[in-house]
Amino acid sequence: MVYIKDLKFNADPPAIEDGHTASQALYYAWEGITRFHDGVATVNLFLNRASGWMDVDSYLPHKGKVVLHNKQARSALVRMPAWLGTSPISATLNGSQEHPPRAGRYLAFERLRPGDVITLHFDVPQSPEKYTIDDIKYTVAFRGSTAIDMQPRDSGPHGYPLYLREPMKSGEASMHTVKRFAADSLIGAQVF
Amino acid sequence: MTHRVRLHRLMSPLCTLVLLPTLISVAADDNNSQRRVVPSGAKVDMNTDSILRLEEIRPRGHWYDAKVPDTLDLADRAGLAINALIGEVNPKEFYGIYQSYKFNANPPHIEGGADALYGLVLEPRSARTLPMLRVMSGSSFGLEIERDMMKAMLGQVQKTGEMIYPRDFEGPARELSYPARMGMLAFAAQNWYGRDPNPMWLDWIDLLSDGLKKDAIHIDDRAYYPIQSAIDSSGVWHDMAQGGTGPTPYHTPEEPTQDEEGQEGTAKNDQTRALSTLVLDYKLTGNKDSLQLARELAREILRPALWVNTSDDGYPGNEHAVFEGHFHANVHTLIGLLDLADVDHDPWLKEFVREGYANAIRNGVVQLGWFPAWIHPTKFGRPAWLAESDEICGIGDMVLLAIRLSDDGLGDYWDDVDSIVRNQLTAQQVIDVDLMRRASGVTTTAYDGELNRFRGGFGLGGITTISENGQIAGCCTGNGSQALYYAWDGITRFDNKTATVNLFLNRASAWLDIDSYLPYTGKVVLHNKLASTVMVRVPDWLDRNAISIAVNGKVIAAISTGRYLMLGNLAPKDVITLTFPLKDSVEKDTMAGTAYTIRFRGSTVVDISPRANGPHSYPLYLRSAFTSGDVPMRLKRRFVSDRLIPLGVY
Repeated sequence: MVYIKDLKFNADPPAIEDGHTASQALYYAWEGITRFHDGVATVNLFLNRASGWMDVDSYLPHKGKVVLHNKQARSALVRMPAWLGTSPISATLNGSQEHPPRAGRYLAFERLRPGDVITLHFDVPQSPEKYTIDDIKYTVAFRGSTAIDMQPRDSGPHGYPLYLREPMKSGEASMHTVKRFAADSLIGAQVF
Repeated sequence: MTHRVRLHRLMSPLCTLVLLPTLISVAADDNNSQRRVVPSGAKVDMNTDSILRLEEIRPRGHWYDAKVPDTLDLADRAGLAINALIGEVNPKEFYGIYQSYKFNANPPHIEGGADALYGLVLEPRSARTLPMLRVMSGSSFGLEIERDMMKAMLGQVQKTGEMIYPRDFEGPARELSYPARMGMLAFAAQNWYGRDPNPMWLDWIDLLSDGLKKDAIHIDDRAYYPIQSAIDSSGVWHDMAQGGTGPTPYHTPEEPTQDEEGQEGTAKNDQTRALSTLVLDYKLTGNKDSLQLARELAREILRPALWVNTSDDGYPGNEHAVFEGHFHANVHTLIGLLDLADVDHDPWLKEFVREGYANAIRNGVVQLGWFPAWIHPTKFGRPAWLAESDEICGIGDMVLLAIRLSDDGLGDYWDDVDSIVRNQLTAQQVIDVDLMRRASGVTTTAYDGELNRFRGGFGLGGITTISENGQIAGCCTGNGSQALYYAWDGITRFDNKTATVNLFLNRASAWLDIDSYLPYTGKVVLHNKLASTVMVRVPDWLDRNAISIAVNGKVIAAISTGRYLMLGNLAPKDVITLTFPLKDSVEKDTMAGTAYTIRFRGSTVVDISPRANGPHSYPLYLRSAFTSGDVPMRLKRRFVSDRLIPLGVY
């Protein structure tokens, strides 16, 4: 499970169809990170995203920090992932402590203005978990929902190793400068 | 004797233990008898008068009149359930609960002879649920009986924390301690504490947890309680239910080798109430020894032998909550494991529980709210009819688990809750005296007093009827009505001026009242009191774009966020009206080998066929009036409690 064996990218010819499917899933997930309607932004996933209404900076899995840079939203609904459980979340708006109401699994921020910055801080639990897949017992190390290591590993000669994520174990996310792109229009969810 | 045999045949595989006259005594062997240090119960004031004052347990809140649609109102159902929970008590026999009332027999009668009180295991369940139902309905009916029942039970608790059956009790458990019963009493104490936050209740919960620690059997890193067995003062376990003689024999106090062992066939579930009690004790008092034992019990529950062996598929069933057998017991076990997963912040265990829920769903028809009493009963020597009967205990568990999972962010199962509550859960609450009388076959009103005494109880039933084999069951009434509270609580919540509406069901609350015109017509009215923002969840059968929203009569554009509509800038007394087309649909589902056609209006079942037509059947889903479109209105006296009881361990 740690090496992709069936996807013959390292053979001739490469398997195009599998790659096509996976990249469509990227779009679906990216599109779902945040949505916007009538002044209300919904943040469903703690993943990086630039958009016309709000940018999301995620420091996961290094540390429990998510920053929302508001552009257009009057309100924001931020979904708390299940792995956070009932752990406390500290929220600030432009550096001042906030106590947003909770609506189901969402935190609700209202009366937002362009340029507002919402910052969320929370603990990131670490847990090794054990799974049996195809009769092999694996131990998977998680930080939050991110798998950062997996044992045992397959050391076959033509394997492409997964989960070599040692740097993610550090508590500090390295920062970098990116040129972000926000498309003028999005492609609606399509039939698969 | 006939009654005893019937009770055994009908009830034993389903609800909870039956106490049979044969007593099997087996001493715990040396390996199993290692005991923990027993903490002192000295801090508990065993004089219960101060926590059982009527003025402290009487419903507190305010009443007002409102003209409302005459549609499903869970507060009304709670009032009816109180009627049954009080009516089934026998104050002359330790406040025990009658397990089986055969309203559908001629003449109607309480079933079971000497076993009628079901081994005194049901009254903690009723005491647990009654405070919830009073919060919903404001009813004080039978409050003295409720208090005296609790007093009788607390009087059986010793300084060691063990709850000892009365010396005068005519059953095999006389003067013994049954751990599951202690756990259930702790749940009752929890809800009494929720109703009246007297810290003395915490001492009682801690004391009962001490008793559970005293009785646990430890092996390696796990612990267990023998199935349907009680322990005497010298540490000898006694089988209370002839577990060694059934189709899947169990020999106390051995560690079970499969889940379906013993009379009831619920090895895992015999650990669950203790597990949840210990988690509760940790949460409320910080007792780390309790948490430690809860983890040991969870390791016992998660043993491979107690789940379906799926090794041929390359994965073990005990990593994915693959179960069969006793449905209620397994779903209840999942709830207990979720209690532990929550306090341990254990994502693996949470995911395990969610997979168990998915397994439960695929064995029933969630749109109908129907789930079998047993999965593959004949595989374990149980009668085949258990796969086509349902047990409200299990159906109620599904409501609890769906809400708990949703609240944990492990899914959005509010539509499951809605379907189960609107359909099988409330359909099997026996509330129609005319139909009860008809099912009995009695042609006069001679038994109406008795029928009314049990009215509001929940039946052990089938897909389209509570059949001749069914009855009003004490266990189902305690568990089904608890599910009413969970659903009622989930209809709307409130936090910091934001109200969430999860279900289109009637509800009065301090922050918002809901009038639901479903299933007659697509209309829901919200009467705001305190909210500045309301989040309204759109059910999955409804196109959110088809909803028209008006605030104080002025149509506004809906802001749609995920499955919710968001309404802001609200003021007290604002009236929000949602109107939408109501979809009729016909579905075909196969249950227990029979293909059924089910007609829905929205999520409400309005008819089902083919129908069973046995001579003593109480028919379900006689709902042709729902399709008329004319909504009957009524004047209702609504109650809003000053205090809600938090959802917690089972």
